[in-house]
Amino acid sequence: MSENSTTKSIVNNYGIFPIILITLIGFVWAVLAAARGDDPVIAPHAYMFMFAFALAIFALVYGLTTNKFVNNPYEYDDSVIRAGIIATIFWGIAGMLVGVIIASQLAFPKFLYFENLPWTNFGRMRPLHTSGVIFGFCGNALIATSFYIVQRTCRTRLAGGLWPWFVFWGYNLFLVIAGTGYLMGITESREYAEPEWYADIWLTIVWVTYLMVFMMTLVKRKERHIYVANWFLLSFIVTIAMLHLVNNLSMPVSFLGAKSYSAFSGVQDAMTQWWYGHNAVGFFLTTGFLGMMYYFIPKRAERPIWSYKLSIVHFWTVIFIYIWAGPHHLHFTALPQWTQTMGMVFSIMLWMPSWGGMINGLMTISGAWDKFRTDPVLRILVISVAFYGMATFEGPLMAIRYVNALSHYTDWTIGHVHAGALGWNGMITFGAIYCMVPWLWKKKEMYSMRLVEWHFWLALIGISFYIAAMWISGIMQGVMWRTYNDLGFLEYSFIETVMAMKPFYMIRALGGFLYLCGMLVLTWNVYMTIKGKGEALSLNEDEPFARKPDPATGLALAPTLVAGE
Amino acid sequence: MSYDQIAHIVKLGGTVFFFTFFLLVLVYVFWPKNKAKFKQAASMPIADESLIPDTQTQKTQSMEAKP
Repeated sequence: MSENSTTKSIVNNYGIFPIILITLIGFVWAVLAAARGDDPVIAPHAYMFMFAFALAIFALVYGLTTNKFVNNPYEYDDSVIRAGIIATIFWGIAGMLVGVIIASQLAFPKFLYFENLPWTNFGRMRPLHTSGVIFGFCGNALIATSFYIVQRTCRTRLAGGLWPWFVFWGYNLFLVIAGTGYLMGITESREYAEPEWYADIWLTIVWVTYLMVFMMTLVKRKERHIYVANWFLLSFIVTIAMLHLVNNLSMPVSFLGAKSYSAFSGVQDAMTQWWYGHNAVGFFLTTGFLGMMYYFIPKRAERPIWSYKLSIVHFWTVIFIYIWAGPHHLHFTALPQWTQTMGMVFSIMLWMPSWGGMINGLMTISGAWDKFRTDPVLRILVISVAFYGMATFEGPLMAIRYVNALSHYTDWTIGHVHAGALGWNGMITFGAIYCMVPWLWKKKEMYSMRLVEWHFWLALIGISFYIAAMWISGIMQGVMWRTYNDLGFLEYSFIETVMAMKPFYMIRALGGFLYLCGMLVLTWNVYMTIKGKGEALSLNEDEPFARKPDPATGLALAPTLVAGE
Repeated sequence: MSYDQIAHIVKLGGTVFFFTFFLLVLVYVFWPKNKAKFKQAASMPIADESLIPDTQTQKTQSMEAKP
């Protein structure tokens, strides 16, 4: 039976003609923009699009004519996930490296800054760092893990034939266009939504495709119940589509130029941007990653979810409350007072679902606490949930108007987002990579568990340096800004507050450097695992993968499954 | 209708809608009939090994494989 099912592959050109059509249209636009572009900066992007689309058309026609596009409907579509993991690692290194460089520039302004190379300026590189880690590293991790999770929990192959590959390459093309654009000075100046209109349209096409692939996979699922992780992932994909579309409503100056103007102005513009910005945190970096948490922690710990009921309440409350929390970014602005208060109240309400989810993740380990000591991968996953709890405690606190009066515009905010980004998003992604790499490349285990230990400690110490430095620096900065002398004048000039922060900026750069070192350790470990070195022995098709329970154990943990058979 | 009136209705309606929705979620979660389903669902990640798990699909599959 299994022999037949694994060898039966069929040629599948499903979806190839629409993909060729989209790439052709893109190619024609790129040729026009390259030839008659209205400003000098559009030309490099036009050539990049031309190159990418030409390559895509060539690959598609080649694959079509030589029947290269085969798949086996009885197997999971894992190749696109493997590519996604490699892209995750690439963008992780790139984004974190740029982060360390700009952190060093804050401490030593001349570091790698050259006056005749404008793209080495902090202002150009900062969005490359944020987009590189959020959209490059986290985004690729989300796409890869969502494809992994939805197939396993729906027990069906990914829908859409070649379309998942379109999502992967299209998304990474968007990242290249966005990142190079920042360096050239192309920006809409909307935080985390900097790319200009043509990159936005391209991302819209890619993202709607992603939504369709995910939804159609859910539609053809073989399990009756849609597992909670898929609910979280679906909410992430749907909401990001909505946020991206609304926040980027704009009018291009010309069809063949880079510049556009937002459809909104004044405080409406600010509110739209922070509705987007906060929910990018809420739905990209929170619900998407909660989908990962609800899959990889039970899987790695070999324990069922502590409370499935709580996970459902967690899901509906987190998505319904999060979407209203954006106005806390605009305290003491022209935004109506009641809207600010609403944002604050909803932020505080988020304590409940966030901590409910954190408790659910942590308690899933109960009964397997010994693995916390023996399995560094599980430890990485668990520590990420602890950071989730910490960041989601701190966030609502900072959203309170009079705490915000002290914390806003200071390094406290930077410390807060990095507790979430490095601790929660980074760590859970590392855990997921350490789980998936042996499973996807069919190895017994990662190349070296000692290196996983090293990564864990490098990352944890790096985060500690980073956030401790930013807490002290941020609160000091906030207090110095509001200190008055006996005559009612400000005690400190602005430059004095900047000088006071220097030692903390050095500690922060050190913390970021340690975290980057951990990322490099991961890269080496993954590379050696794929090569099959060390403990990463190859497995035959029939052997169980690393640390996955054998079917008997899995069923024993779920008595109802046995009863149902 | 003035801005204040609209704002009032939206705030009130939103509160009622969210609270009702929250209650409905709780009812769904604690509905006795759903207990077994949730218990089974909690183990879905650890029992997800094969692509075609149930015997029914295995039959279909072998029929397709050996026509």
